[in-house]
Formats: sequence, structure tokens, C-alpha cells
Amino acid sequence: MGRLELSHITKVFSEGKRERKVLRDLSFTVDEGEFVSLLGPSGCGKSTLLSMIGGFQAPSAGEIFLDGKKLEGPSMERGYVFQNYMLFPWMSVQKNISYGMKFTGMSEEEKKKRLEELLEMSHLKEHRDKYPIQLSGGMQQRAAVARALAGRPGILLMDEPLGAVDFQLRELMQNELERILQEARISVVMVTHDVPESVFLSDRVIVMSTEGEILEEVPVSLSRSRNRESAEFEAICHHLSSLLRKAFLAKRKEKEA
Amino acid sequence: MLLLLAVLWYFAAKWIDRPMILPDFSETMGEFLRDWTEPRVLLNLGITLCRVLTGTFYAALIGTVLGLSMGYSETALQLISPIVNSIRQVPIMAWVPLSIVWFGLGEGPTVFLIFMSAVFPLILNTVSGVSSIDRNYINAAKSMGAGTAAIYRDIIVPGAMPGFLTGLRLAVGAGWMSVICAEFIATNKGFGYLLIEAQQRLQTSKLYSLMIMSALVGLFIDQLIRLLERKLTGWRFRNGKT
Repeated sequence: MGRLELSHITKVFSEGKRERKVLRDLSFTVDEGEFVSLLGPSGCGKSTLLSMIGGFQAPSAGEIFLDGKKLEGPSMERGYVFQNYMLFPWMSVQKNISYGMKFTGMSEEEKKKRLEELLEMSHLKEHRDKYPIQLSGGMQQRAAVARALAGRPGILLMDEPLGAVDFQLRELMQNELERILQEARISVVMVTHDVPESVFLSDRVIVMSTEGEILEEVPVSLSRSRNRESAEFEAICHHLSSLLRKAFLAKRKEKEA
Repeated sequence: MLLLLAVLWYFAAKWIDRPMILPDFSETMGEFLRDWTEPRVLLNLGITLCRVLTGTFYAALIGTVLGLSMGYSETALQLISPIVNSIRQVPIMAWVPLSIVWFGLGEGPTVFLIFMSAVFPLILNTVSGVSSIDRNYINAAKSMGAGTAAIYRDIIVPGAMPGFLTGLRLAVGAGWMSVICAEFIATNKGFGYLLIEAQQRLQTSKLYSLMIMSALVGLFIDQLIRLLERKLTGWRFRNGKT
């Protein structure tokens, strides 16, 4: 469960009469249980790509398959964690988390058990009756991940899940996220522009250019949980940063020419 | 502030010394207290409140249906908003003659006028309530398997609730204001009719007392809706536990 395949994805936005290509002929796969990050400068189309995997937009050309089945529209096989979490502000934490279970065939007993499991996993037991506005950023993030995992999707899609978090808290929350996802044993695609974050969490990092092409796929084979200070970790970070820088400079040269 | 106003009134009345224009303060207050226990005043107040309730109820019904569909579907918005926006421009009092032609004198035209003045704030605020819902809430619900009915019930309705309630507050306020005007003309019952009666009988102190009453009743209704707002949309307030 959870093998994702993207084949020749292109996305064109039309702005009045002009057309703007944001993604050009992208193909890659995500294996079962693999954590893949899409890393790139802002405006490279990585969020658009993720939202197409989520089924919220259709690609202009190309196809997306999950476990061999062609994807059309959103469904509960794909859990989605939005930028800024998008927890329903009018529902309590526990209602948010159990929302997706309503639409599964789970029995009441199963639902209850699953909810307790998720509250336990996300350390939100004491906060179950609070509304999202009453939670800290970290708690909201954990609630959003728990909500996305509730229906046992095959793959989890995360759009800058830590983008709204203070720099000091980030590393702590990356650890939390790693713990939760290791427990869930699920494939993940995460969009980020934070290099160390992608190296800490991913099995593979796909670097995208500002033109919406894949620059390079960088595997990260360090054992978990990873030491951010180790030489290997820093070497990979360094490699990714220089890739991004090159992509950025190429773009600038092109503009100046 | 209110005390200062009372003192000002007291001395101004003494100085002007024409009770037809500005009656004595203590006499008006006496009248005011008497009016709260006078069955005829209370009965007419009740009649008027009933009309406001009925008119606002119909307005809420129509306003919710139109507002939700106009907020959610671009086509509905394009179709309906020109009609709504042009009818909205007709001054509410301009409906009086037509409403009498349609419904005759009595209950009909007053309720209709309340409806007309209440329905537009409800529509407009519900529309803006719906369109203020972040698209990604809907996407989130879809990605968890929600269908159209569930999205309406769980996302659109609660998400538009703050806008709807703001609209309701404005609607009841507008209804309360227009009902009194409507009752001047189209009926021989109700609070507005009492005002006209007091004027014709040259009971200025009663007129003042009734006006103060109408302000207080309006304020009371407004507070009631605000309470409802806190109750229904407590999730918007950090410490507003339900």
C-alpha cells in the first residue's frame, strides 16, 4: 500500500492570453513506506504538484497512479496536511481528528479505539475538547497529522508542515513528526524549502528548479534518528544547498541575458 | 453619561417651560414607569415583536437559502446578485403603498416590510460568510472522504455562521426600525400605532416614554442575538468555552 507513481506531469496556468508553465514533464515514484521530500525555491511549483497528488487540481498533461490505480479527485487513501494545518476551527480537537472516520466503514467501537490511539500518538489527550484556536502551533500541527492519518491512508501528503513554526521549535517538531510517522509506517511526500528539514526526515530528496523541472534526486541513507551535527548529514545538506544555489543563479543569468 | 443627560433634560425642561415640546423630566419618567405596567402598551408591544419575529423568520429562511447558494456557486451569484442588488436600492418606505395594495391593511404589510428590510443584510452577510471560508477547508474535508451534503453540513454552514449572525443582528435591527414606520401607516395596532396615537392626543410625555422604551427593547434584542452569537460560535473566542 502507498506506492505513488507520477508520469510526465505538466501543469500550465493561463493568465489571460499568456500561458505560464509551472511544471514540465515531471516523473518520479515513491515506494511503499518511503519518505520523499520535494525541495525547491518558492515558486518552483512544488505546492502545486502536491495539490495535484492530493487531487485538488488536475494536471494539464500526465497521469498519477496510487498502487497502480489512476487518481482522479481527492479521496481518503491520501491523507493531506495543509500549510497552516486547516483544522476546522468550529470543531474540537477530537472532532477534528475523528472527522474522516465518519466516512469509513469503521464500527463505533473501532472509531473510539482509533481516536484514543491517535490522541495518544499525538500527545493531545488532555486537549481533546479544546478548539484549534486554543492550541499552540505545535499542538495544531500534531492534530493536523493525526487527523490526516485517521482513516489509515496509504500515503501522507504534507505541504510545508512546519512552515508556520518558530525556528527554535522546528527541530523539536521534526523529531515529533519523525516519531509519529515511524509509528504509522506510511509513505510520505513532503513539500519544503528547508534543507536540513528535508535531510532529517527523508529517505530521498527531489530537488526542483525554478522552471518546474527535477534537478536531481538525492538519496539519504543515514540511519535514524539522524544526528544533525554529523559530517555525513552536513555533507548532504551542503550538496543540496549548492544545487539550489546553482538553480537560482542559472535563473538569474537567464534573466540578465 | 446617562445621568448627565437626565440632569440636562431636567433643567432644559424647566427653562423652555413648554411641556408640548419638552415635557418635565420627572413626569416623563413617571409615565415611563407606568407604561411598563400598562396592559395596552404591553399588548401592542407584543404584537409588534411578534411581527418582527415573523418577518425576520421568513427573511432568515430566504436569506439562508439564497446566501448559501450564492456564496457557494459562482453561477448562482452571477444570476441572482443583479436582481438582489437592484431591488435592494428601493427605499424601504417606497414599498408601503404597494404592500398595502398586495396585503390590505393590518398584519400583512407590516410583516412584509420587516421581511424586505431584514432579508438583504441577511443575504449579503451570509454570502460574505460563505466566501470567507478558505477553499482548503473544503479540500481538507474532501480528502477525508466527505461528499457534498457533508461539506455543506460540516464546513459551509458552520463556517458561514459568524457572517449569518452578523446579518441577523443587522436584520432584526432594520426590522425593528421599519416596523414602527410601517405601523404608522398600515395598521391600527402595534407599537408604532401607539406612538402616532400619543402624538395625535398631544401626550408628548407619553411619546418620549414610548421612544425610550423602543430604544431599550431594540437594545435588548441586540444583546439577545449577541448572546446567541457567543453560544453558537464560541470556537472563535480563545476563552469562550461552551
